[in-house]
Amino acid sequence: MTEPVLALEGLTVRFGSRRVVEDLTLRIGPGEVLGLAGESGSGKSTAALAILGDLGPGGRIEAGSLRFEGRELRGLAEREWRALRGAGIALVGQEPMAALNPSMRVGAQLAEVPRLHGRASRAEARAAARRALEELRLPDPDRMLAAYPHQLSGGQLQRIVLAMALMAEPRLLILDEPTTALDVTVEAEIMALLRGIRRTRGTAMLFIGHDLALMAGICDRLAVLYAGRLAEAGPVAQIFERARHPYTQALLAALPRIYAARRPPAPLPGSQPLPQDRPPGCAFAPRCTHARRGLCDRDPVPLETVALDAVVRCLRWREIDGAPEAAPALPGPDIGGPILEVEGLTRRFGSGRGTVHALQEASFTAFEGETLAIVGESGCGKSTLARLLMGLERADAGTIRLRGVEVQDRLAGRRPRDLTAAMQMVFQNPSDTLNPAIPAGRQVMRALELFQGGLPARTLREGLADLLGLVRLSPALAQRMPRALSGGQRQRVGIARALAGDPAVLVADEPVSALDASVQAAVIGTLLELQRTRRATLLFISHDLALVRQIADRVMVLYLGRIMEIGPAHRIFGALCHPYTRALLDAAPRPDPGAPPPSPLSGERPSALTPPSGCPFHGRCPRRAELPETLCEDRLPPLAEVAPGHRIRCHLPPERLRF
Amino acid sequence: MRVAAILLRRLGALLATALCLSLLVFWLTHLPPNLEKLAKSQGSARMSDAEVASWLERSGFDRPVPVLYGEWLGLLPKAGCGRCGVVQGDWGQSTVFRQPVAEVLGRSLAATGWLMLWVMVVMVPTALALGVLAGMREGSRTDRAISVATILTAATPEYVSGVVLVALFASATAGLSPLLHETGWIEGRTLFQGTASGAMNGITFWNFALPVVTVALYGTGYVARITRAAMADAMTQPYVRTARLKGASQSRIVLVHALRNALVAPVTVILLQLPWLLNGVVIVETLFAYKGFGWTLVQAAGNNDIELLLGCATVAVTLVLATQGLSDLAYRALNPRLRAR
Amino acid sequence: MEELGWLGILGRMALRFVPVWAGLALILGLGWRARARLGPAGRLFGSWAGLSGLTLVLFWVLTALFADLIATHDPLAQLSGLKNAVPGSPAPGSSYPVYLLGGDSLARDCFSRMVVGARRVLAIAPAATLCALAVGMLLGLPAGFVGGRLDAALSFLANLVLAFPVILLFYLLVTPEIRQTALPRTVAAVLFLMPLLFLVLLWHSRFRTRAGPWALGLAAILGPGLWIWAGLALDADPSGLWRLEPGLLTVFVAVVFVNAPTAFRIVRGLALDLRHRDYVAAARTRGEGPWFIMLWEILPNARGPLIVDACLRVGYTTILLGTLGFFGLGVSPESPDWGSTINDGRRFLAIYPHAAVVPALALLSLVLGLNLLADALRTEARHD
Repeated sequence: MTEPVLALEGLTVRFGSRRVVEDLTLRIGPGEVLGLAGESGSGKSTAALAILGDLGPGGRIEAGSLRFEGRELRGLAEREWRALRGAGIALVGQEPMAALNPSMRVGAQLAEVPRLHGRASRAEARAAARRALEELRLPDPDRMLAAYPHQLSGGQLQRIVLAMALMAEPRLLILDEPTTALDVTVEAEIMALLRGIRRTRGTAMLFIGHDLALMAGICDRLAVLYAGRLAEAGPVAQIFERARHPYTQALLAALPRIYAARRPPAPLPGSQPLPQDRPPGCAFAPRCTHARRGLCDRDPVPLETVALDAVVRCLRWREIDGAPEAAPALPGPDIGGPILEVEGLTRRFGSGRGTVHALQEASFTAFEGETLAIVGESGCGKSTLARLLMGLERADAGTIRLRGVEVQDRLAGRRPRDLTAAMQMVFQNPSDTLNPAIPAGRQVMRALELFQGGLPARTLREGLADLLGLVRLSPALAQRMPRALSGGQRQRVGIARALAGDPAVLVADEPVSALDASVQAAVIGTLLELQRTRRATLLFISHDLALVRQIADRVMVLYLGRIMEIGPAHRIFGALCHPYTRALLDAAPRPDPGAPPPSPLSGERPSALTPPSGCPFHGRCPRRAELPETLCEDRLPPLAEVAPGHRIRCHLPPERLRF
Repeated sequence: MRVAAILLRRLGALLATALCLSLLVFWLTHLPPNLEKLAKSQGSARMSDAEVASWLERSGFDRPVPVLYGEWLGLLPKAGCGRCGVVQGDWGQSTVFRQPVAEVLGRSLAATGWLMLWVMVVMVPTALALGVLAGMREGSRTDRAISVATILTAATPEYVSGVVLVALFASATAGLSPLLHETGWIEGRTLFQGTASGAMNGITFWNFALPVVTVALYGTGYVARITRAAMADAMTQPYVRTARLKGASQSRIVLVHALRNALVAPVTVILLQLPWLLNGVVIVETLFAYKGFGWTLVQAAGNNDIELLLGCATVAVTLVLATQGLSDLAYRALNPRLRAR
Repeated sequence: MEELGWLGILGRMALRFVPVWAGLALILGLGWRARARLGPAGRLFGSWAGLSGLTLVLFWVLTALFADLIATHDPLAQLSGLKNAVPGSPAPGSSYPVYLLGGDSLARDCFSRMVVGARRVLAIAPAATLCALAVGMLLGLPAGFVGGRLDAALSFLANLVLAFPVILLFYLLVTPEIRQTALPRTVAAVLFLMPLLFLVLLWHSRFRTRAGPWALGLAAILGPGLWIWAGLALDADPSGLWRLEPGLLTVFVAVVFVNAPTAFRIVRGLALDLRHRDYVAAARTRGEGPWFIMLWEILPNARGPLIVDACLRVGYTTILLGTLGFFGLGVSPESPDWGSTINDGRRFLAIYPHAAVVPALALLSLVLGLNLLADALRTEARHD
């Protein structure tokens, strides 16, 4: 058996009195890619920092061993660590913008690596930096080398960070959520690069992430971390085919599947415990449907080898059947008449360097009781649309009719009370949606006071209890400050607050994108159930096509401020769609280790400051060659109806847009 | 082109501020009670109200303040000399020193310039070094020791530190001097001189050290605190971790990666400190009888020397505004993000 | 009686401060027991800097409170033969046998003057800070939240005042001549109205939907508020309970005036930072008015930095008051406040340093305590 590149044996890391990582055993062979999956707070990033000897003040390794190429890393002197970092083990982190020094040119930061490790001369280092950028297919490397980080896009920066990590030819590359901050098309591009590096260089990698679908596309083996402990590890195909640990099973069931039937992802109750509140026994037991009292909640559960190269930490894995119950399919919506009509809505921002066209001539209608998903990458105008609808910003042109009343000229606070109550919003960021200085219940209460003004205090208190019950929160949580609530609970309070006025339209701006996978499904479930029972219209803004596929009745796709396509979900995902929608679908990772890798979209997304003429997508469109010379550059295609209720903005005839 | 536009707009704002402020000062110094006091000090202390009124009328002070202001500024013609005001370089006549204001100001500004120069020479390197040393490893023993020292000096106004320093080093009866004198270490009765009036004729270590240290002490503490905070913040940034994980040494991380980003705050603060130093200078010059700008300002204000006070105010406000503009430019120069725009 | 040695002086001083020790023991003891329930304030007990800062500040607050019990002599009484007396000199035939910290150039007791001087500083500095913060909040919140032209105009005004060297401002504002004009009263009337206006807006924005509590609260605020305001700012309180002597009023106005622009800048910066939060957008989308959002959504989240700033600001105001005293501005010559005592003492500094050093060290320790406290609070907030 060959020497593994990295072998962790019973690694335990403490911060103060809290054990963040406990008894972690992993090994990575030469050229192997190991995925370390877990939710935020599971200890996966801490494990990476322990491997790099950079736990920072307060953190220390309490027990276990770390061996890199056979050499014990615990107790290494600072000088030895320096020689190892970069050259032996390198890290690529989550936020490329933050990872680069804002006041240093990219070239200088890259050239530092060979200067530190290879004792290269200044000119050699510079040449090496240029080569590294060329290898990662960055256009115009000389310009990049002379640029400051803020002058480049997120995708370019992440490629530069990757180039920097590879420059000293490390034997192990640690990737800590390398694509989380990026758009789906850029993500596909970075993943393709990583697969290429693996093929050509054979670098061993530790891929840390929370998105199992993404990890399926690159990892050989997968290790799942829950509350600081390894829940399960094994070859990736085996795990996707037959996960043994109930947590892994639940994670897989909660994954939205883009080509699956239309049903919401299966929810998992509760959330991961914090390091200080981990229960004795199995940490997952309180959320596990298979947990047995007196068995699972007593002693720490040992890790058990269950097959060649596969381990699981569960006492009952033999008795548990593979897949958990899937969530029931959604009943068909009961769709009524139009409730929200938008006509030619336009929003421009003047900045020092020109005008940003955030939204251009958007027209659509939302019907009573339906779920309309609004999809697009960052900067496409989807959040601007939400802010315009809510009256947080004023439109430059166009009309918004809510229940037939024009509201575009009335900012929030100037609208009559019943129209304010009729359209409410659920926000994206759970740490920001509730006011951190006010108890959670009082924030819902205030909304009740405003919308149901004049009611006696007792009725309001009952109303609060009802609302909390609706979003499945215990009334006791009302007294808590937001920071004492989990992310999922905060989002639920936010939903309850939006429901206080019994809204006809609920605008949800990426309501679950900041939540952990296992919590996401449950919040989505609550949202959909409320929408169905109350026959509210849900405008669901998202970048996650797989999720949209499973819950939306109709889908609207935005690109650079323009609606590119709008139509019934089953047609867009099943019959024919715009080339851009197609590219988004292709770029989405598939939760299937055997699937062909997603194909990235070529080219950089143009800046909204200098939108392309004609069709905004023409520069990156894979079908561009099929049309005559300058048609796409010259003329903006109309949003033409290709079937009842399905409109596409493309010069190609509909029959050539079929799957 | 864009930079020029920004500069022009800044300059316009500065000019507007300067005009507003000088008008305000002019108005405050020309309030009726001040003019009455002026009349009594120039005429006789026992003037009746009618006599005061006629004196003011004779001297032309009974006209509206905007007219007087226009004359002082040199935009309106003045009786006797056509347009001769600040704009033309005529700052008027000091009643206390019986000299042209411009002359008095020139002399005192030169004296204060030396004081400021030495204060900067002492303060800036000390403060930056202390701040970087403390912020480099937040929470370490060095950090805590430096923090206590800098909080202490930042809590010590000049009139306190001056008094304590004089008592310690320049008193014939207390502090170090009697000890040193008895044991024969020093010949004079005190180690340092308690006044800096001698420094007007020649600066020596013994007559200038105490005033310089007194002014520098407060600023050093303050700038060191800012530097420490900026440095500690920079050291927790992800790009510092990136540098560490590249294999860079601690000294390289501090000097190359963190320092450059951490310096933005202190450099702007040092420039903004200049107006505050002006306060310190006034106190210290009064305390040590050093006849610089601050001392002159106190003399002018205390003796109702209106034209000299106006001159002092104009100089002081210009100085403050200039440093504000400079700190703005420095902030842009140090921040590549802003420079690009 | 013999001249006392340093041990004797310290021992006797410690005895004089017994009420302060008792108060300190009581407050710190209770605080220590309740520290778990006090939140961030409770964690001060765990940090060295926080505890020493708290102790220093409490020491001076209690000293100011019990000044009459602690002082050994009348701070204005002169005893013949004790001119510039060294610390520990016997003072026969007076209310206490010794001048513990010596006599000043007018043969008054330095110790008593220091103790009574604390009272004056601790009466003005916190009140002036609160007033300045009220002005800062009332103008800074709209400037940061609304932005645009309002922000540009208010910021220009603030920069205008900031460009004024403080001492020049004092020399222009705090003179006997200015006191003869209507200027101090006019400015005071506006400045003192700010805290009142702040309270009114606070109540109105919260309870405008409920008529009963709204009217009750406004009456409770405006009644006493207007009474105090009329007394302090306009000297028009018929009962004479609320009044400020003109000299003190001018000093107060000047100190608030100097503090207000920096308070404005801090509040504006915080509002600018917080206005894009989702919870602010949520409040707007449910139809809240701007003052509710500023005072009830943004302000509570800015309180941490504002408390830290208030601590620093009380210290800074103490320094400013000392500066005024040092230049003999706005105070009667015999006033025992620390700044003027330092000024009196500095003439004989080279020969009799004690008269100036005693109030200097007193001022230093109070400001140090406040700065330590602010530093500890900031550290606690950051680790939260």
